[in-house]
Amino acid sequence: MHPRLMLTGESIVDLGAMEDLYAEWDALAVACALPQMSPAWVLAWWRALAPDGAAPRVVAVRDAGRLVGLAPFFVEPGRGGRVDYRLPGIELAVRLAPLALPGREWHVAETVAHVLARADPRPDAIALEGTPLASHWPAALCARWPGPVRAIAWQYALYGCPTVSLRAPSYEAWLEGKSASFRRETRRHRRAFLAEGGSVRMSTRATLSDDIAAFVRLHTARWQSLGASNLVARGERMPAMLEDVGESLVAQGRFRLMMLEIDGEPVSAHLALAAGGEVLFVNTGWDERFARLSPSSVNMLYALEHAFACGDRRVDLGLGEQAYKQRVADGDDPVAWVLIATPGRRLALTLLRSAPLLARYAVRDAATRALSAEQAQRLRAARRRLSGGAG
Amino acid sequence: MTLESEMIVEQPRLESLREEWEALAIANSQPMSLPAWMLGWLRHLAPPHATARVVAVREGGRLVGLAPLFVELGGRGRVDYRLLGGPTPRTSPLAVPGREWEVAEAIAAELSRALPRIDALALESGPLASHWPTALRERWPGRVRPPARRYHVQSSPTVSLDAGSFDAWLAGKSSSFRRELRRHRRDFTAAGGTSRMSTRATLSDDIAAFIRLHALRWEERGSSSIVEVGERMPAMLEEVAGSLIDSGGLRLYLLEIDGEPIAAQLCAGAGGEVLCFNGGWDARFAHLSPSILAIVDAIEDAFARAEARVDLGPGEQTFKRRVADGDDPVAWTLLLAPGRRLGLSYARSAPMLAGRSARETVKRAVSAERADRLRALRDRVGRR
Repeated sequence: MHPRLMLTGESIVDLGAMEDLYAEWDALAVACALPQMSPAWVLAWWRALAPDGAAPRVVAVRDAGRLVGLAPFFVEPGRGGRVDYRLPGIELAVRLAPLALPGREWHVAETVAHVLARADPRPDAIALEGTPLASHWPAALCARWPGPVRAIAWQYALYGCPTVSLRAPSYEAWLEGKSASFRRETRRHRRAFLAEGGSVRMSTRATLSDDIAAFVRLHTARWQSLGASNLVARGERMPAMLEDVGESLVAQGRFRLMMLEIDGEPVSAHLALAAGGEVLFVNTGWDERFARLSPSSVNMLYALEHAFACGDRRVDLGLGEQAYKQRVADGDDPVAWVLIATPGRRLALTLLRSAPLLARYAVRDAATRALSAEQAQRLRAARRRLSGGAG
Repeated sequence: MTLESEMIVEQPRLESLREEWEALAIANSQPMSLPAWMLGWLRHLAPPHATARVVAVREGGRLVGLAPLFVELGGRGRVDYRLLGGPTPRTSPLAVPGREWEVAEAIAAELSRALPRIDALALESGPLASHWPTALRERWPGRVRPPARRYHVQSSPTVSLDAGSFDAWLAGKSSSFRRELRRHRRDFTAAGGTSRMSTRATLSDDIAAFIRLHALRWEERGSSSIVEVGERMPAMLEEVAGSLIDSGGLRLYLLEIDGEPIAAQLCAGAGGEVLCFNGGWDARFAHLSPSILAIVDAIEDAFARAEARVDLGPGEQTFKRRVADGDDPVAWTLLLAPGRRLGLSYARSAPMLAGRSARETVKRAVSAERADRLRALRDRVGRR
């Protein structure tokens, strides 16, 4: 029998039923090497950060009883406008995607599409935000949408995500492969940090609460001079969510909060999530008084060294191609923003409602190509001034 | 360290790249991108005026990327740069994994100044999950991106070899599949059947048998690209096998009854990936399901070699569906180079794109049975 003929899809609309799936769901997140799609992260998002009125619209796909796919969408009904089905957590990290056993994405997508096509409220659009560029999902959901008309997809934004391959047998071997100036600088920074009485440790269950508070404090202080931070904007809900995730994952070594301290005082905190050999660097914070020691860079390299020690395969340095990432990275695995408009009577209205967003990104994109880097930077600065953001 | 690119057009220079090129194909698990397959195709099967346009990208002297393309010189229409191998399944430019975007930038820059001036870059039958179409488009130099159109996607059923052993894989299949496979194997043996893999000693005869069985199979079903190229196909396979048969880069599995070949399955392997891309069998032995038996032999051999996956090739034929446990489709994408000729390139591409679009619409709109009837009608008309 064809693999997809045996699949059954179930719509899950309450948190309790999602929690019941925890073990099988986590196994899928590990198989897909997508740490931010793990149930610990997604359920914590629901408990702490989900917008008011958001409702789960999760599709669980089974093959002879075994969970082989999970699309943990949510919807915000009653907001008027376009009914979007989205994946949770884009405000915190990228590389979001539905889950399927590797190789079975197309079979699972067919079942997911059939369940979504008769979901309530019916989705006008499926927003795959920050999804891996190489993902099969946008094409599979469009092609396998039921009915005579396929769904229509726009990839409207694309951002680089520098990566570090951990193919070298050890951190030292990896370092040997980098340029002499990089090695020299890395060693000098680490030596200087240790000479100042610096120490490094990974957060444990016992220290979790204090470490998360320090992480949020350092991150907030850092962003005070840089403008808006999604983490800061969440206020007290952010540490609550991180504690929730940490409680579930810290003992397995999948919630990695690396703390740098000088004389017992945290000067840098670096948060990463891990699953299936993939480590995602989520965010960081550091004390500017110690800028001369490059604490952010020192911490990132400790986190990288830890990933080698854990036998991981790849570190994803996260969204953005900042210079400090480029120096460490040896690859790029971009993420894309894709909007899938579903066929039906409301399709024209959906296209109309999506047009401003798509046009805005198209203009921005055209400007990015047409302007020099300096011109683009001047424009960005002007925009920040006009919107009242800090410089 | 900065990347350096160069356009290579001469065959001897391409030959000198073989070792590094092969390493890239293996690192990308793309058997049909091995230089032996691509250069063999260029020598034997390429269109008459095809000339290599291979972009090599180096870092500190080391090959980190390669776009093995060709162009047909002297044509009047659109100037297409296409991958060597034509629509051979699962080929693409190559890069050290993770470095596709940097390499794409170097390739795009080289192509934008190549001669003859490029109108379109055709990436045919490449992995759907590939970064290349997007990366080449995004990193194309200048103010305007090449418009890109993915005009066709085709399923390619796959078999994951993560079960650890052939027996464990078989135990994970449905009881009806196991029962049937065992029955077919028993019946095949009882009929005097034996199976083997082609060796250097048997290669010539085995290739001839493969071509004959393939042609027989396609006699009733319309055209086959293998049959159409006549004697050039065995010549190419013999040359490729000369380089790859010992490493498993080319594998030819044969089923015989009383010494007479009744089925042949051609596969390629590299970097843990096996692509089974063509076969043939004698319809007189259909009751033994020789196509499934040959595929299962290839799978069993792949387990023995500790490989990661068997790709059964584009198309969702019933026998593939029964064996596969995954799908990793391939896609056809056309990138139109920006420039003064862009409007003309659009106009020249429109009929093909419209035809594909219409075919896709019809496929969705009509039932599977009606689509089968339409295909049968088209084949009958085509044969007249």
